[in-house]
Amino acid sequence: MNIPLPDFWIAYFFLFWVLVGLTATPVVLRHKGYAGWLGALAGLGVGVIGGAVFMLLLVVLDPITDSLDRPFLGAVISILGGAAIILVLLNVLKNFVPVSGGGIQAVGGPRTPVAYSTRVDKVDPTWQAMQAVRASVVIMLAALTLIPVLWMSMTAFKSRADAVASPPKVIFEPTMEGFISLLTKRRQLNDEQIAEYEQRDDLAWYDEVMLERGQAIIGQSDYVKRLRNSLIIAGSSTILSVGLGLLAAYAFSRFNIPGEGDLLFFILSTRMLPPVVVTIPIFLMYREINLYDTYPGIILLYTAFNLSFSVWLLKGFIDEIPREYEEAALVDGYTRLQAFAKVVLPQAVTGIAATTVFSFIFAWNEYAFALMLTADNARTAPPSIPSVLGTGGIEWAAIAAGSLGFLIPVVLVTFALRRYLLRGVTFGAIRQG
Amino acid sequence: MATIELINVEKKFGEFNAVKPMNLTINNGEFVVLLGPSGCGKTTSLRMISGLEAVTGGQILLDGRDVTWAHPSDRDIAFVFQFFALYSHMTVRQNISFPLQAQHETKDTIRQRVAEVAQLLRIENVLDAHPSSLSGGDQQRVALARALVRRPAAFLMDEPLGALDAEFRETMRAEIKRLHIEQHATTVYVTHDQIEAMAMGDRIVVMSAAEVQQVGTPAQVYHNPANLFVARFIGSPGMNLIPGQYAQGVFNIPDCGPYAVPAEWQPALNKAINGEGKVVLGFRPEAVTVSAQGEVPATVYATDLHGGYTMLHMDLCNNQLVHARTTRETQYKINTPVRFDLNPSMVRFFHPDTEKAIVREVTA
Repeated sequence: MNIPLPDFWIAYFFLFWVLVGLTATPVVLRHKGYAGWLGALAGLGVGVIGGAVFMLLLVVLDPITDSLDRPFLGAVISILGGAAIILVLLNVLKNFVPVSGGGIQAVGGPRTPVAYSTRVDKVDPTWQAMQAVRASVVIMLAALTLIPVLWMSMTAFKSRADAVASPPKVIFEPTMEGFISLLTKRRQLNDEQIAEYEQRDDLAWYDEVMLERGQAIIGQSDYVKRLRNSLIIAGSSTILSVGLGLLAAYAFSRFNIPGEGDLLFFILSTRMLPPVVVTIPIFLMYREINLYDTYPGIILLYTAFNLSFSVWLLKGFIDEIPREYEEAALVDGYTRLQAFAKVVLPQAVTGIAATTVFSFIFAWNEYAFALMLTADNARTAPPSIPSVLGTGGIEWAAIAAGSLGFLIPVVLVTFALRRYLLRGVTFGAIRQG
Repeated sequence: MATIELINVEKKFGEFNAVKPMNLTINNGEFVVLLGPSGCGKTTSLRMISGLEAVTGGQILLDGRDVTWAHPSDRDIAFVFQFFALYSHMTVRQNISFPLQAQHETKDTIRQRVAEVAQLLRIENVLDAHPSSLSGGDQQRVALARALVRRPAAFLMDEPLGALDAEFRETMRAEIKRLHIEQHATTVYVTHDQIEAMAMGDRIVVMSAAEVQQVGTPAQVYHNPANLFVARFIGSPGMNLIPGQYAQGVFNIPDCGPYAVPAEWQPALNKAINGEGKVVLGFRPEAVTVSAQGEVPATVYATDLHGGYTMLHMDLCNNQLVHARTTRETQYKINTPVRFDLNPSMVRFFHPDTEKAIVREVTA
């Protein structure tokens, strides 16, 4: 049988149907009064059969869609059509599952008490099963977008040979080679020196790893410093832009400022120009006032860029906090600054979290300014990752390790603030003041 | 506890008069209600007393001390907001302790004072809960506790019962009144609900269109309204107001017939309008007695039973409705003709142009 899809997609869709079977079938069987383990077992079967039927449908549908003479569109149509047919089939088939006579009571339905939802439409097994299908779609889409990240993470732990192997190796022996070559400077050894090094017993594990490649570690690489620069610069500019933004947003939100609308528009207008346009003028200015390649220079620049964003975002959040909160604190004997710190800040924590993450990601990710306005002292990680390219061949493992290391702080910050983010991103609408 | 004096206090937003120059003295321990329809400046007045709103003219004295430009935190007053303004990120205990922390009280004092007010307001069992998990009534009790715990010179309350359910409102109204009697605290209370104002106030300040219309006890504003606005606004339904023509001791209801003005009113009317002219006759629904021998004819328009009494709506010569309070036993058929009399001591007269009440010299 000739399934008109590459191997990867066959596995991918098969996995999808197994996931659908595993999550949706137990819902239906539970409603019919069967035990949980039976549902899971049946689910696996349904998933595998569903996947097989799907492949079969693709084979059948392929000649029909081929007549379109548009290969990609044809593939999409047959995939969606096949999926629709199977879902309809499953939905019909579930009505033929006999209700279990065994002692387990059916859950849900109009005559049984409801323990997990008060909405009648959400008790219906079809709704719950469809919820499982929807979840499966989301999981598979998430998996698809995470594949590059996964690939990068794998490459970071591959040896130099494995990294460039073709076909790519999915199963390999993990090694720290990539990280070590990213973080160190090394010297190529000749055979004699290798023999000499192998005699020594004061070598650390990372020396041993590199010795296998015939290299000796002679010091720290620049990347360590770049990463530290990135942390300092992104951290400081985030703190500054969120802090200043909070004060400005509070003032805009609570006081009658003459020309408030114009000022807000002026602040926003700094965003209306692609940053790259101003890099040359800024470069010339910075060189003149000795800010080129300094921490204050680049922190100032990132803060200025983030400030417009943070003022607008935070103003939306502070507008939503009723004035009575601070007024209560004022009559209770607090000064305005105290009321701000004790009442407004805790209420605005969602907005602060969202703004922090956005500001941090911008400063952490910024490439063009960092490339133009820093050389060595204040150079950040993004422009330096490409320069890790080693002598005599591209060090893919080292590049992947660098990217992975670069990814981690953002993940940590976002993860730490995730509790506030969901509400922040969806509800903190920016409003005209 | 303290007296509050407002001397020509006014507030303008640009050209718009939010509160026209206002004079008011609130005595020590008094419960004064600012009453008026929404947008009449009553909340603005309260916010000016608290310092949350700056005055644009006049003086505010607190116990003789000029606090016109003092920061809200320096005035030693407590404010209870309509929507409670409880801090959702703090527990009830932290909410109540919050004003005491501003005064740098010791931890022991704070714990003791919180326990005292919690007992007073019966919220001991919710001290460690978060405000969002409480009922409306309990949230209001917490807001009151936060105001009480500081023992301030005066309490300002801005429609504190407005956000509560009807059933809670009755209970909380009684609780606040009881609290005021026990604490004997100077209180300024803002409401648009005239029943609430009548029930709670020692004195009522009726406001409308940024101006004070009348200051008086509940009985005074009910029985002797200073002008047509107060007469209409107080009471439910308000005073019956019938415009007509007065001449030689007789008030002529247009298209309807004469009503003999009680003798004690005649000198006052003669003096106010020179013996003859237009006046407005006013009387409360309970001044009406329906009887076969009654002086004024009307037809029954509608009746509604209010449980304890029946409100009878009569059409006065196809002209205007008159509301009368009758016993609950009496039943009237729609469109039957009736006649009624007015209790002479409950009749009032108003000047139709100035809208002010015509005052009768009381002879002892």
